[in-house]
Amino acid sequence: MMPKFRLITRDRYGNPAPYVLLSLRGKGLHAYRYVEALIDTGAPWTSILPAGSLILQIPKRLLKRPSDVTTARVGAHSFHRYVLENIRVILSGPGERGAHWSIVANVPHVSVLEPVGGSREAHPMRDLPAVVGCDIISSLELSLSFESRDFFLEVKESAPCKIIVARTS
Amino acid sequence: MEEEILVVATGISEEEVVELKRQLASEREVVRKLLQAEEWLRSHQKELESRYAGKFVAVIAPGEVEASENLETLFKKLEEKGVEPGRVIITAFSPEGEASIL
Repeated sequence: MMPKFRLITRDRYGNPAPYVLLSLRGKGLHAYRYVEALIDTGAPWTSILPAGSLILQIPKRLLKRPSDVTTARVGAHSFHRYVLENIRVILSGPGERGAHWSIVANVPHVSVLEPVGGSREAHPMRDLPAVVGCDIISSLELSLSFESRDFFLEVKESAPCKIIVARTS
Repeated sequence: MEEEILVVATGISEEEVVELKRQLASEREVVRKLLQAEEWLRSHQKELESRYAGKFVAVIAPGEVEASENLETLFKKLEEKGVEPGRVIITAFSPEGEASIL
């Protein structure tokens, strides 16, 4: 049986949507900061939008221009695309009886989308701080499912990851 | 007994896993509070959406909310309460009649 993890399911304009808590770890980043991230199977990359960059306090000096795609569109808005390289991503969600689960992956890059011609404060896409894209979903072979009122992430037994259970109390 | 589950991608060494477990154990309370706030947000979303349409909202704890039209002011309000952004749920609600569907 595939291990299955409940996601944070929030209403998005009248329909349920899957979210996780996302935290980034890497040199120069603030540890212990979390932001809501929408699981988005339509997004090629895991990306931090301006609200997420402000909440996570991502310093602009850490951002690098990628060699391939330098402009990204989200909805009707254009963003300059930068990347944070060699980053550890932690995704967390609710477990049983007040415990939680975390999925940890080292990724070659996470996209950081900066507004074109404006500051992070005056950004569009206010209600979307971050998205978890197909890069992480495919590299960990995660599947998304929905049952009753909740979304779940399932990890295949053959997936390139291992599951560790820690008893906490 | 509570069981916390850690899914670690291949490529992360055993030593790193030990360090990760230590790190995540120290953040357990932060994540637990964030998830409690999320649960409360889910059950009060309709009411919050109509009250704070077009605003950023920080759910500090179940029932404890700060809101502002921009993140800068919201961060100042949180700072006055000694609350660090990124350790509380910060979300935003679209203005009434608008939706950002990506």
